[in-house]
Amino acid sequence: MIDSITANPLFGICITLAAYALGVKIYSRIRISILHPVLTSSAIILVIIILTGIPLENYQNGGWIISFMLGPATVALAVPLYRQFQVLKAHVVVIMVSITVGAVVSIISTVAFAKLLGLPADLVLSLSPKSVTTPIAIEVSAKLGGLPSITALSVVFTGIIGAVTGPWLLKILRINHPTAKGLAMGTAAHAIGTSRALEMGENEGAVSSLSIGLAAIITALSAPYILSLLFNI
Amino acid sequence: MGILGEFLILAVVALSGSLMNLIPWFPLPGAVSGMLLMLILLLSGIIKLERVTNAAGFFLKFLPLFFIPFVINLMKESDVIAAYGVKLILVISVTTLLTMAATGLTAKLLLSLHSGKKDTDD
Repeated sequence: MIDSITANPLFGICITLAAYALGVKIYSRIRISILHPVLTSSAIILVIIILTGIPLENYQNGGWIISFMLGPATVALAVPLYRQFQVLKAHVVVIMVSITVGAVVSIISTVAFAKLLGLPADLVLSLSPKSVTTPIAIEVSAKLGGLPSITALSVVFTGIIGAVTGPWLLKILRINHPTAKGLAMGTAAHAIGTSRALEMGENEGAVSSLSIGLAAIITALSAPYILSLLFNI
Repeated sequence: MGILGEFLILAVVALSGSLMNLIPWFPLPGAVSGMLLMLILLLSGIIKLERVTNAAGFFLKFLPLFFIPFVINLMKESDVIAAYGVKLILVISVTTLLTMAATGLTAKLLLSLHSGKKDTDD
């Protein structure tokens, strides 16, 4: 009886929507970065299904319907890219070179450090696209042979760390130009970094939101080659 | 057509993106090709921005919601998290700062070279 309720796809959909709504509400009351809605709502769902012993497959009967939306959502990422296209045209060399440097440094430093710490190969691969927006990071990770769940969590952590430490790091390094700040936030910390960049200023936010899409494209194109050339993966 | 037409456009472009991925030598994951295709359609004026604004706004607003089920799959990796969780966080923290510094310093250098030529600021 209970099993037939939780196996209904609507069950997974309902608890995901309810937990997310609660997560958003908590975040809007207590604006602490670590209480990002994805983390709080995932924690709520995990606690519910672990405590009640509901099988993960039952939850995912509905869960996959929600995550299926990532496909069209990625296509929608073209809209901010299109909106900021004038910004790109104005500084095309600075923007393309900086984002390419950032994306390549991200992949190489992540893989090198993860290997140095002795992480197993599938975790190294899961971490490699962690600086880019989740839907694309998940696809890159899956294509490389990583674990999409580890990638999804790593991307969220990356965004939170970037948003929290970014303003401080940019100050120490005397990076003051709005374009440079936006590029750094968007390339290193995707959408979560961008919402922080928007608080710095309109130009920072515009460049940062442009960086999300460009960094994702450059990472998707270069990650397989960097991994096979430098790390024989 | 309204909002339904907007969703249809995004769905067709996403589907075309994953079809491109069937070409063996095609270098991009399906979702990325869909995004690039959409950008090309917008830039070339084949699809007007107003034809997708609402549906795109919906997907972008709720983007974080859509990857929650992926995070829930971590249940299957609980032993991995227990064994390597601290190291994962260490790698993520250090390399995020490195990436941000590399991007920001490159941009700073290029912008200072650039401002030698013109003194307008944005």
